[in-house]
Formats: sequence, C-alpha cells, structure tokens
Amino acid sequence: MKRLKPLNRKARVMDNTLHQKMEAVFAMQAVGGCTTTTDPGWEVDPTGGVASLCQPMEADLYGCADPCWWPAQVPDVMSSYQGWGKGTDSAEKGWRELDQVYPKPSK
Amino acid sequence: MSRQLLWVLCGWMLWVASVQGEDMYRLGERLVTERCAGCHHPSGNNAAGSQFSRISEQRKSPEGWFMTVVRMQREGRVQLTQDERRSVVKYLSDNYGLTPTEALPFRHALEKRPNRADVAEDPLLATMCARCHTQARFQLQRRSEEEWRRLVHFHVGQFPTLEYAAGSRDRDWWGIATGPLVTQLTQQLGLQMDSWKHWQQQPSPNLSGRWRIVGRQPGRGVYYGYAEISKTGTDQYRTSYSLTDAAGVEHSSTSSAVIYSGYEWRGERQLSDKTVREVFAVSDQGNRLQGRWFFQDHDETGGDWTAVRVGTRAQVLAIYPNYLKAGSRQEMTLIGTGLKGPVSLGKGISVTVKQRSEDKIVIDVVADRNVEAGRREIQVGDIASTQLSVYRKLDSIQVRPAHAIARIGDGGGKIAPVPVQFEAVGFLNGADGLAGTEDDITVGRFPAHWSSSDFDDIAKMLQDSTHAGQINQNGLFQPAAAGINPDRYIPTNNIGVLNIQAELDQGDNTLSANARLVVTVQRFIDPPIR
Repeated sequence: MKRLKPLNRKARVMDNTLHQKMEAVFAMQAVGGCTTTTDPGWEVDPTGGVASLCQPMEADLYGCADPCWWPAQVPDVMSSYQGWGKGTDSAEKGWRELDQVYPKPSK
Repeated sequence: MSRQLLWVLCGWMLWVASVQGEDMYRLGERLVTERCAGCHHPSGNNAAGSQFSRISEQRKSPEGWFMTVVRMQREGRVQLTQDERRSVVKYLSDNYGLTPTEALPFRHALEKRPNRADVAEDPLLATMCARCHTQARFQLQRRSEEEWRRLVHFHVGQFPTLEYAAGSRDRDWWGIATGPLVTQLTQQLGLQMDSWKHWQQQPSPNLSGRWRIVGRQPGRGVYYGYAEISKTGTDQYRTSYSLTDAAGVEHSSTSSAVIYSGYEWRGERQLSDKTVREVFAVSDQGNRLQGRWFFQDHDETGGDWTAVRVGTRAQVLAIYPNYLKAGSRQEMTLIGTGLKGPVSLGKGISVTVKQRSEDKIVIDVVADRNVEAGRREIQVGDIASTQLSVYRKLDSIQVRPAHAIARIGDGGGKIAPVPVQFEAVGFLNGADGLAGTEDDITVGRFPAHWSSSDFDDIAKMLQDSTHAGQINQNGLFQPAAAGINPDRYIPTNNIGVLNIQAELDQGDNTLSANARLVVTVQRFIDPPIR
C-alpha cells in the first residue's frame, strides 16, 4: 500500500482523511449504540465521517436493510419485521411513511 | 336510577375490585404461567434449578425483560395488552433481575444518557457484540452457558447475513462465536444466582414520605424542590412534585411509578402534553432516589435527578451557582436536608445569611480579590461538602460532549430529529500547570459563543455546515430536515460532519474549544437498550 499514490484531488482527500484521522475514528466508534464497521456503517463510516456511507440511504435502503445488514438499527424484512415498508415500494419516494418499529415502555 | 344502570355500575365496581385485588406481580405471575409456560415448561434441570425453561436461566434489567417480551409478542405471537406486558415484566424482573451492583456500571444506558462514550475494553466483546450494540446491551444480562450459546444461534438464525459482514467474513466467526465468546460471556456474565438470591432477601423499603429534590437539565440549568411520595399498592407509588427552576419558575406535576427488582424506579408523568419517563435507582436503604428523567419521544432531552428523604441524615445536596470569581459578590443558594449551624465557605470568602430553613439557605457572598483558587469545602454546622470552585481566570475550556451524534428528522417524515445540547466547561490547570491533563480542576459550566463549521476537506467540499443544521447561542444544535436535499453537491440528505466551537471571552483573552459532531441518518429501531 505504501507504493500507491493518490493521483487526483478526491484520492488525495481520501488518503489524507484515512491517514490523519485515525485517532478521531476510534473516538467516534465509542459513541454508544452506533454501527460503524458493517461496511459501511449505518451512522458513521470507518473513517469516522459520513462520506463513505451509502448515500443517500433512501436510494437503496431496502436493498441493504431487507437482508439484515444493520439489524440493530434498521428493520430487516427477511426475519423480524416482515411488514415494515409494506406499501412503500420506493424508500426514495416514500421515506416519509417509514416509522420506527419499537414500542416505548410504559412505567 | 334505572335497574339496568345499577347492574352496569355493580359490574364496573366488581371489575375495579378484581383488578385492584390482583396486584401487578400476581397478575404477571398468572400471565407467565398461562401464556409463557406452554412453551417455557418447567425443566427442573436447568442452572437456576427451577421453574420456566430458558426464562429461569437468564437475568436482566426491566428494560431487558421488556425487550424480550416485545420480541415474544412479535415472534411468538404472544397476546398481551400494554398493562399485561408491564405486569409480566414486573414478575420477571422481580424473580430474574439484576442486583444494584450489577446494574450500576451501565445505568447510563437505562437512563438514556445521550452521546455517552462506550469503549469496550475487551477486544473479543468489542468485535463480536459491541460492533452493533452498546456494551450495556450484553453487560446488563446474566445467562447460563447454554443460554449464551443459544443467543449466538438466535443471532445467526434471525440475521443470517451476520456472517458476511466486515469483521465476520474475514475470520472463523462461527467458531469464535460458539467457542471463546460463549466461554468468556459465561465467565464474566454467568447466571450467578447466589448474588441475586442474596439481594432478593433484602427488605423492600417503603418510599412514602417527603423528599428533597435537586437536579440539572443540560442547557437549561438547575432545579430544586420537594416530592411527596405515597404508596398506592405493592411496589407502586404516586408522587406530587413541586419544583423551582433556574429562572425561578415553579413547576408542579404528579407521577405514578412502579418498583422493579426491589430498587428500579420507573415512573411516568405528563409535562404539558408530553410524557416524561423517570428511571431512578433506590439506594441508601430507601432514603435516596437517583437517576435521570427524559421525554418519552425525545430521550436525548432530560435531566439529572437526586432525591433524598427529608428527616434522614443532614447533607448539602447542591450549591447554586457552584463557582465563585475572586473579587466578586453574588447570591448563592444551598440546598440540602437538616442544614443547621453556621455557614462557612472558607478563608477569603465572607458569608451573610439572608434566608434559611433546614432545607435551603440563601447567602450573600463576597470573595477577596486574593482568595485562593481551586475546589473548596462548604461547611454548614458539622456538615462538609466539596462542591464549590473558586477561580480568578479560567485556564481552559472544553466542550461537552466532545464527540456527538445528531440525527436528521421530521421533514414530513414520522421520525423526529435528534438534536445535541453542547455545554462549555471551564477548568483551572492542576499542579502540573498544563491544560487538558488529568489533574485539571473543574470550575463549572459557562455561557459561550457557539459556532459550527465544516470538520474537514470532505465536509467542506460537500458544504456540510451549510446543510446539516444550526447551533444556537445556548449550545443547542438542531439538525436539518430529513429527506434528499436537491441543493447538495451530490444527491444526498442533510448528513455531515461538523466542528462545533465554543469561545469564551475573559476580557484580555479568549478561550476556545471544539467538539466533533456527526449529523447522521434516522434510527428505525430504537429499543430501550440500544
């Protein structure tokens, strides 16, 4: 990897980010309850930013969430929440209809 | 009154009598026997030596059992009303709960404290469990070896792509998960029924009486007041509050609460039209309640809560404000119980008592120009408390939280945004004369000038600071609306990474500090323990 050199501006930005922010990456992984490492994470990418997340998440939400890719953050239609997203075939167009699935405890 | 109406009234009275006659625990016991034991039949041979297969081989917090019962409703099609589910959770928590000592290191998760750092020290648990969950999710459970193994099997069965994610596919995940991981979880978090049985034998205190309250809500300041707690049933209480906030505004409300596992207070009250949850722990032999309250639908917003029973041992609970500048004069308020005798804030500070009772003392304070800076003792009669800081000039400030997650929301969607309340905390250098080291002396929270900017080159390129949200001059960051923003450089929503800066002008110098804020997407699963 040491022999690979970034050739364009985006590659230089990525290279700079990966090599200079490692300490911050560790710190961001420490915010409780966030998934960072399921390539990509749900909230935060492995560099501690958001630039490498699936963006926009609405575009291919079902493609990843249905097969349980972030099962602690997003309902999986394969096993646990088979009715989630029903009637909202396109998350990109109908994301406003998608709700959280967990009931709130009372007392 | 017609005969028909009389029959309806009699029926209603009988129904009320039957509900009141069967308390929560008994109802839970009956429901578990009727609706759970069909599958969870007595094995007589499990690690707990009892009663319900699988159930009796686990111990959890009330929230942990709530999540289990919700899953049983979802997966096992168990039919329960909300009240019935609460009774089942009560029965399970009382019989298979956690001791106060076991729950203590992870109470922050039960209390829903936002932006809490969560570094799993053990690399095996960090990579196998804490990649998706908080540590609290598994640390607040005790299971037999067989039950930990079954949990691994459940994960693979329920989420079959688990083995293909990064951190799984690059090693013998199944071998590790069913081997060393189960062994370690059993060693660290085994069923350990002895400690639980010992706790269960402790007497359950009656919490009825008058209580003194102090607390603080980040971004809004301190409050104090009283609570009258009265018992309404076995392990059930009703509370009337009377509180005064930092602005002098008085608030009153009532809540109802249930005690789980002998010490876990779970209350609920209404504040305007919003539901507030109370997650407190009973301690000090039933003389102290401590924890956090938060809004049911915005758990990032809430406050600390300490209540001590009036008439027990004398103590200073708080002093407002809790710092004093050299050469200044100000009014300060001490809150506590049994406050008797002269008040002293130590050498170089003169005190005049303006108003006093056994629960509250208002003092007029003048600090000498050359008073010694640092933490110092407050003395009220025979009671001492180290809650006051004296400073001449601050040496540094820090932004809390230093790393934070906000979430976009609303925008016509069903999920609310998750804001972040930042605060600037002032420090004095310790003996080493350096800022940012372990011996720094905390002075307190100070007003600051707040701003946000792009965190790095990528954020700048994507103009994150323009789109991701705004911070106000009280340190509250409000994330932008959810949904795809057509004005962005690439077609995406309003996520981004920001640098949050606090600046504090001290006259001849300005202190500044930064925090890192990730503004990210909504969470579609938000269980009580994440």
